[in-house]
Formats: sequence, C-alpha cells, structure tokens
Amino acid sequence: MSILSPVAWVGRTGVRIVESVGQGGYLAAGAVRAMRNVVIWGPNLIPQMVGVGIASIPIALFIAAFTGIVLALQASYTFTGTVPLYFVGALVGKTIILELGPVLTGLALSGRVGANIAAEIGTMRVTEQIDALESLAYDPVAYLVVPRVLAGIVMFPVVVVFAMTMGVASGWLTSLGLLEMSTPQFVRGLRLFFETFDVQFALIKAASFGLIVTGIGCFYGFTCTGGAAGVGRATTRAVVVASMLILVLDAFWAATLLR
Amino acid sequence: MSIEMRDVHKAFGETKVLQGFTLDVPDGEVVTVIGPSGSGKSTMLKTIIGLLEPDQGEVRVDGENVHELGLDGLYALRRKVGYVFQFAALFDSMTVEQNVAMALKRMPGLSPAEIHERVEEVLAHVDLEGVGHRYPAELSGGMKKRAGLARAIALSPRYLLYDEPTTGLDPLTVTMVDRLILRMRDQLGVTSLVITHDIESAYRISDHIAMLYDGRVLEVGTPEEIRASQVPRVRAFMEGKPELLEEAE
Repeated sequence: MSILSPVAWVGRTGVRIVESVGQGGYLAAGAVRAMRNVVIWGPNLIPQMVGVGIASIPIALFIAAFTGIVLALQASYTFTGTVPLYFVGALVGKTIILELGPVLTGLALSGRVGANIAAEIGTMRVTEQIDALESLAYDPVAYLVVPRVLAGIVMFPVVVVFAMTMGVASGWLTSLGLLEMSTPQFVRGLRLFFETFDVQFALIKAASFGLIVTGIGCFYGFTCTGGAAGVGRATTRAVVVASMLILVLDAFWAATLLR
Repeated sequence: MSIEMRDVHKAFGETKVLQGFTLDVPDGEVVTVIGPSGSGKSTMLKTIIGLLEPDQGEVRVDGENVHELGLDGLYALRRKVGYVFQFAALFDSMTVEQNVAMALKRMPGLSPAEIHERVEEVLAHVDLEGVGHRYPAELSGGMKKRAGLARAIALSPRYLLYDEPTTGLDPLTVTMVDRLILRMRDQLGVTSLVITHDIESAYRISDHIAMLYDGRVLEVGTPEEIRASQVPRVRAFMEGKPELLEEAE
C-alpha cells in the first residue's frame, strides 16, 4: 500500500462529496422547476401522502408509546425526593414535544420512508424505467420526486402530531399506573412550561425532516448505478445520510429558534 | 425527414464509447445496426431522443438538432419517437394496460374510454389480447418485450428505435416482431432504427445494415452488400467465424 493512499482516499472522497452536492443541487433545481408541471405530479400526490404519512403512523405510535413510558419512569427516578412529582408531566411534555417526538419519528421514517424511496427509484433507474418515463415525454423529476417530497413535507408533521400525542398519553398513563400520580398532578406539570410555540417548533422541524428524508431518498435513487448491489448501496446511504442530516438540522433549529 | 448522426462522440469517464459515429436513417426505411456487445449501440440509440448528450458531434431528427432543443422541444420530439428498450423497461408497479396508457395520457384531448380502446388495439397488434390486467412480473420474457413494443407504438410514432427487440425470444415471436417492424414501415411509413445481434433477422427486415465497431461505423450497405462484404471484421461478425479475423491479421 502506497504511503500516498490515505491522501488519495481523502482526495477522492472530497471530489465525490463535491460531485454529490452539485448533483443534489441540480436535482433540487429540477424539482423546483418541475413544480409547475402539476398535471404530471398531481395524480401521484395523494398515493404518496398515504404511503409516506398514513402508513408510517403505526411505527411512529409504537416508538412514541414506549418513549413516553421510559421518560415518565426516568423522570420519576430522577425527581423522587428532590423535585415535586408533578414535574414528571412537565418533563414528559416538554421533551416529547420539543425533541423526541420529531427526532425519533424522523429517524424511524428515514429508515421506513427514505429507504423505500431510494430502493424504489434506484430500481427504476437500473432497470431503465426512468429512461422509459423520459422516452414517453414525462419529466421523471416531476413524476417521481415532486410528489414524494411534497408528501414528506406535508405528512411528517401529521405523523409527528400523532407521535407527540401518543408519547404524552403513554407518559400520563404510566404516571397514573406506575407512579401513583393523579391526572391533575400530571396535567399541572404538563401545563407548567407549555408554550404554543413548542408545537410550532416541532412541526417546523418535522416538515424539514420530511424534506430531507424524501429528498435524500430521491437523490440516492436517481443517482443509483450498478444493479442490485447499487440499489443496496443507494438505500444504505439514503438512510445514513438522512439520519445524520436530521441530527444536524435538529441542532440548527434549536440554535436558530430556541435562543 | 430522417435521423442524421454526424461525428458523434460519447465517453463515460475514461471509457470512450462512441468515437465519430456517423449514420443516416432515411425516411421510411428500416436501418439495422449490428456490432459486438459493448460497442456503444444502446448509447447511440439514447442520444437520438436526448436520454444521453454527446460530448461532440450532432444528432438531428427531422432536421432539428436534438441537443439544442429546450425541454418542451425535447418532449415534443419524444412524442413522435417510440423506444423499445432492451429489457422492456416496463413500469413494474403498473399493469400492462397502465404501462401502455402512460404514453397516451400525455396526449391532450383523449378520454379514458379512447385511451382504453387504443390500448386494446395496440395490445392486439402484438398478440397480447387479454393480458392488460397483468403485472410485468406475471409475464414471460417474450410477453414483456411485446408489451414494451405495444407501449412504444401506442402513440403511432413516426420513428421507432428498437434496442435488441428479439434477443431471448423464441423463433415464432422473433418472426412476429420482424413482421411487425416491416408492417410499421409498409403500412404507416414508420422509420425504424434497430439494434440487434440476430443476423438473420437483420437480413430479413433491413433496408440498410450498419456495422458498428470501436465506436464508429465500419461499413454500411444493403443486406446484399453486407452479405458480399470483403471487410474481414464484418464477414467474421456476420458469419460468426472469428477465424476470418485471425486469417486477415
């Protein structure tokens, strides 16, 4: 192995990243341009909203339910003997709404939705179905990308609302069943630090996660090459990159909207 | 009106695929391009409808430079060019009927009933009556190819580009596809550019045959001229005898 190999690797990786950013920008510009082509993407929007959003609700509810239980128990464990127990409601509500509802849902959907989109579009790419779309005078970006990304932006907040509701509800039920708290106690804590802005903040984050997860899935699907192995690589990258960007965006929104 | 390709070059990274490809496809003719696998035949076909852009040279359809057309011009061009993909490239989440209807849905003024009627008509053309409700995964290889052909001819295109339309088909289906190509030419005046490895089929259907080698046209002529070719590489390929090449060298 040459001593220059690590340098070459860094160079190749740098070039690949710059290339990807360029291709991503090109695809994004194409998607913005394709928005005017409503006749092409319009009929696909509702099916995508169902696939991206409605079908994702069960997994989001499952994750939120157990997160709410754990949060309530951990809060009680931490607060017992030092902080009044009704603060359990405050911690569960604040944490679920501000952070865990949107972020855990986003991460779960980067696997469910992002992987699905990358695999589906990647398979279409390697089997020439995207070329076939173009040969039939369809703009593939309008047909495939626009409805998926719009569905992500619209439906991620909807799924997150379900998740937040379930998370708070499971925290409340845990408080009643396992922590010997009363409903008024839990609600008192819940209302203590509640701000309407918290929900707005969560929905803004969720919409941005929807954009990232669907956009990244489309990008890796569109740029997929190399048969079944290529589709596998595209799917993995879509999930990994979308998950990383969700965490980066999470920090970005906190830094810009919570200060 | 015709397809004209002039000094077309195309490379993928370091790999030069087309290196000065020049070919005319006269109006109303069937021109077949033959050549070894990986010699750039599919790449050449994709430059004609703008799926790939040449690095150099020009491709003209009906006198218009394909790669100077805007997006709307390109879509208008694609509506008059049907493309039969090597592996059919059917949309696997749609039924055969939905696949064929995809092209028709882009035409303004067609009602769903008219689209359905046209789909039935083209499926009958390729002997696929009654399979419109099936998904591509439920079709044999030959049926998939014919469904791809039905989709390509749904809009009654003026030009048809075939990427190995008979590869992997049984002899009866090969003959049926050959006859369909000729019928499109004789009855509708469709101009066809066919890529094939099936030499017998090339002799049967072609007005002209072009041999592609090393990214450019090695020889072009009528089937009779190609049959009588003295170019060793052409003879070796057409007769399937690599020893002719060795003798020539």
